[in-house]
Amino acid sequence: MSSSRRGLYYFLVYLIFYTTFVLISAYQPALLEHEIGGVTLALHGGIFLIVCAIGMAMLYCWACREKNT
Amino acid sequence: MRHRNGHALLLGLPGKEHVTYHASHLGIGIFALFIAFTLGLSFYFARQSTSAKGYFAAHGQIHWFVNGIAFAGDYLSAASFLGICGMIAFYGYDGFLYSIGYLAGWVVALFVIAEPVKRLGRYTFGDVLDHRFQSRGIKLAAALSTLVVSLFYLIPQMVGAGALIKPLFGLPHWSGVILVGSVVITIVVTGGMVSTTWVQFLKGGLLVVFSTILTLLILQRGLRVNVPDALRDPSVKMFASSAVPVGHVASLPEGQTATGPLGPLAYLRTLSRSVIVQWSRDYDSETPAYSQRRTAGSDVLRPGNSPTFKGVRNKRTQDKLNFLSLMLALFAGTASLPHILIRYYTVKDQAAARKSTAVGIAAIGFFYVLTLFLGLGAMTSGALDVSNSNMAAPLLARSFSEWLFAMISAIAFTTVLGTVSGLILAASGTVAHDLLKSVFKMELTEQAEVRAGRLTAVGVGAIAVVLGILFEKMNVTFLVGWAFSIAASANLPALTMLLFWKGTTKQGITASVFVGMLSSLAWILLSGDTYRDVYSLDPARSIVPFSQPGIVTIPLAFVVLIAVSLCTRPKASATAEI
Repeated sequence: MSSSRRGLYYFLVYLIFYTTFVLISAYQPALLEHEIGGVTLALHGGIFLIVCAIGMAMLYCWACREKNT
Repeated sequence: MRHRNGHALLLGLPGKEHVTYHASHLGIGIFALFIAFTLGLSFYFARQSTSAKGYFAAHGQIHWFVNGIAFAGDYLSAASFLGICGMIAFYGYDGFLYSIGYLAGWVVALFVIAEPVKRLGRYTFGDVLDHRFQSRGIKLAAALSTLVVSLFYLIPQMVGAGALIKPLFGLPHWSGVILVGSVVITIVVTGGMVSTTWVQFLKGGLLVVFSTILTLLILQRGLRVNVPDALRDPSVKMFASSAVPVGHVASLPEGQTATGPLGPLAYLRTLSRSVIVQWSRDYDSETPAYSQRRTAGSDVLRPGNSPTFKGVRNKRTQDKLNFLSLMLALFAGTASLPHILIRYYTVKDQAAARKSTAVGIAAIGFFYVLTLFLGLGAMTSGALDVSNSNMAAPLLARSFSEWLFAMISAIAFTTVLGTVSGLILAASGTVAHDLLKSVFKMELTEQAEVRAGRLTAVGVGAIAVVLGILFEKMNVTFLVGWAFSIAASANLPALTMLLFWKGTTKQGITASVFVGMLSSLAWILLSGDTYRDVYSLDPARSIVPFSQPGIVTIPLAFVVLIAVSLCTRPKASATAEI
């Protein structure tokens, strides 16, 4: 798989996460007030999006590195 | 003393210090060291910047890791560091929404933009758009878009420099603007992209390291009930002129008075079950006054507390659209910022572009997680200036030690240096390379192109200094939002369609950039926020239904590009001849 095609797949996956989070924030904000482990879903969601971006970036580089080599 | 409506007024607390700012000699010393070091670097690298490739793109020889940290240094402006920390300290979770949106934009940069931009461009954003067409129209559109976005981004940085220097170093506003302007012009003129890269690397590294140290100190200190006796009465109000440090915890779970050291999750969990004292501007009062309210910690950690994001908690469609539009602009804007895009030309190949973006995402993402703790730490540290949210991070540092305050203050200033130098370089490249060479067809040797770039850097820097001084009294933080919206509307549709649709024509690109830029600019100028903040008019009289343009103008730019491209596509016979 070319890196540009792989990049598009990764982008679409992240876009789904981001869009879901933003739409919930806009139309179901009460949902984000629920707590899991004593912390609101809003915080879980936000930290997940940041950690997910970092994780996917590393994974993408690793996957493209295999192709390069 | 008691006000006629029954509220207690606090005109000053006996035995308590007001939020006063005095020149930190240590801070000035550390900042002077930074400046001396960065200027030394610039002069050292000056001999590597005699060719156009050296001056505008650092010969494409910057190591990907250095470029990745430089991305962080370029991107994490004063708005990110001081603005987000301050917003979290004052409104809680809402500031973190900016962190989420700003970082998400980097996903677009890595997965969609990074490698093609490196492959197709040389020095400027216009190079990428124009690589298939050699069109003066495209170069002109790209150059104007770059200049508009860079200028809108530059002004708040310069005003921010002036606003910072007074409380931090005890110097007047204009001196901060001139100091930053002079240093940055010297950095860009002498060492070009090489020295700019190293300044940004230094700044990005310091920002992440010292934010980590500050966060560890916050967690080590934990939370404690710390409301001063004079503020225990919830009806106590405060005037800005006599404001005392605020940001307190009224109660902790299970009647504790102090938690001791906490882990990150335990910190958030404990805060969620505590009661926080927050302060907000009382607009009923003739003189700036602030009233307090006790807020449940769980309420602080949910969206919708700030004026910017209050729309998420009401049913108005316009407010929802405004929120969605802002989050779209943050997502789409990052990968369209000219000063970010030109960093891709400083590495040797596409793999390095990819790896450096990943390093940038890691550094920026980590920093944005830290902003949550910095903001919440400031909210509960008893060191907030109720009249100036931008001072949250430096004052938080001062609650630990003067040395840390000096260091964070110096880093805050260096933050402005790194971002401004990137912006001036982007503007300089687009004038010398796109406008003079491609649009006006001037015959320039490499040396003449570099000379034109240097002269432009001086000119743009001087304009930024003048505007930074003229706009002193104006709240210009919204200009960063404008820059994101304009970049997302003008640049991203053209860039993505060029990469992914073979039917794109030069007329389509040119029309899309102009329509995206002008429509977003017009929308912003006619918005309620601008009516209120710039024209001092009733926002209800504004023409557009909500303030953030992205949700309308980004799709509009896509539609224009497709429609114009379909109307101007080459005929089959002409294509065959070619």
